[in-house]
Amino acid sequence: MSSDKDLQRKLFSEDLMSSEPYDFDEDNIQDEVKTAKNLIGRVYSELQSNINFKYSELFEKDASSKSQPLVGVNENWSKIKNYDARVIEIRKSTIKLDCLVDRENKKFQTRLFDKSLFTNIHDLKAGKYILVRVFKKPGKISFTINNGEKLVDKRNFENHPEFSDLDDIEHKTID
Amino acid sequence: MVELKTELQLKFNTITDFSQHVRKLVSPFLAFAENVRFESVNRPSERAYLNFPEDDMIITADWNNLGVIVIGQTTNLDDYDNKLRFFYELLDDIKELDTFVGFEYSRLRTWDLLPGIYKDYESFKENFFINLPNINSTSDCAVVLEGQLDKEGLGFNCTFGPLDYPDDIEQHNLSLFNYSAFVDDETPTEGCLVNNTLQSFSNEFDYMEMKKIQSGKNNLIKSIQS
Repeated sequence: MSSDKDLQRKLFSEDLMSSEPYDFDEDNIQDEVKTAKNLIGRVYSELQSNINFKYSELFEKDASSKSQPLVGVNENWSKIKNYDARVIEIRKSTIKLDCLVDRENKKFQTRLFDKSLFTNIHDLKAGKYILVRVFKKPGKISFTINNGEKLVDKRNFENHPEFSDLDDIEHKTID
Repeated sequence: MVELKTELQLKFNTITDFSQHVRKLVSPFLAFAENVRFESVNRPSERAYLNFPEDDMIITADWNNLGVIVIGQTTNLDDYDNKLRFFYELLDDIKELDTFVGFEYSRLRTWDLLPGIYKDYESFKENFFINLPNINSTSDCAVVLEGQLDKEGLGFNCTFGPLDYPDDIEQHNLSLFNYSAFVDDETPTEGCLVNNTLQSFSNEFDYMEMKKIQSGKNNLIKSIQS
């Protein structure tokens, strides 16, 4: 009996295009039909299992490792907030950012950050887009300053009110 | 309520040329992701995995699914700037592909803990079961409710019962990377574990749809608490 691979080769590969005539005797055809039925059955059962699969199974290899203890020492932040921002002004020791604090209502506020937080930002200048990430947990808060050129939706910063109008709230901190 | 784990799956009509776009689609997030992995590379079903340990989150995308799994608090799932920011950003980019047609369904699965109620097997049994089959050494039980939330137009499956800690960590896969959803010392380890699945068959998915699903979930939780 022909193997699955033989049949696949006959059906899908160069063999089909070759000049060598294929032997169509009756016994051979019956064998091939059986093999084809097996193949179709396997494909069908695989399709069925794909239909029935649980999406969460995709994550399982990442979600846990049974060889390692489940309880680790990670920083389990209870709140994470992202702010789209743009550099307004670079000062001696601080950077002034225009932050989108309410996306739906298009509310912006200016914030001052320590300049040393921005040393990871290449080509820092006024107008540069920044993604500020704020991580919180009881008793702890952490900021990360990230290049936002590919992440910040620049359309939100178009037609934005003059920065000078917001100067009176610039010393507030992000909550 | 303590949020332990959340999975959101968006199933869309197959994007046949997804493999041509996937690496470009995920590139803005590579500065934040660790262990980026691609499967079935250069095949139509190419799939990307993006691990975000800092966010306790994994995002995966392939030619007909975009999914995210989060351990711990998600707060407002429908808030673009919250924990799921990168997920929503990737979703927007996928929706902008020429070959994107629409969604087949969206499905939210959540595992939440209600501390203080139905925390032991005996009290749960007394409250919900009158004639329970007498099987020796029974130590755990749950109620499963299935149906439709008429107001939100969502299908649901709600399973709840006393948390069996720590066995339920493995039973419900309440872990991500190498730590469990109970990693925080302040997370209670007694109470009622609620596993909700809500499914919408809308061919659109946006904030409003997410608000609707979230609202459905909150209603289910309230019903159990009351």
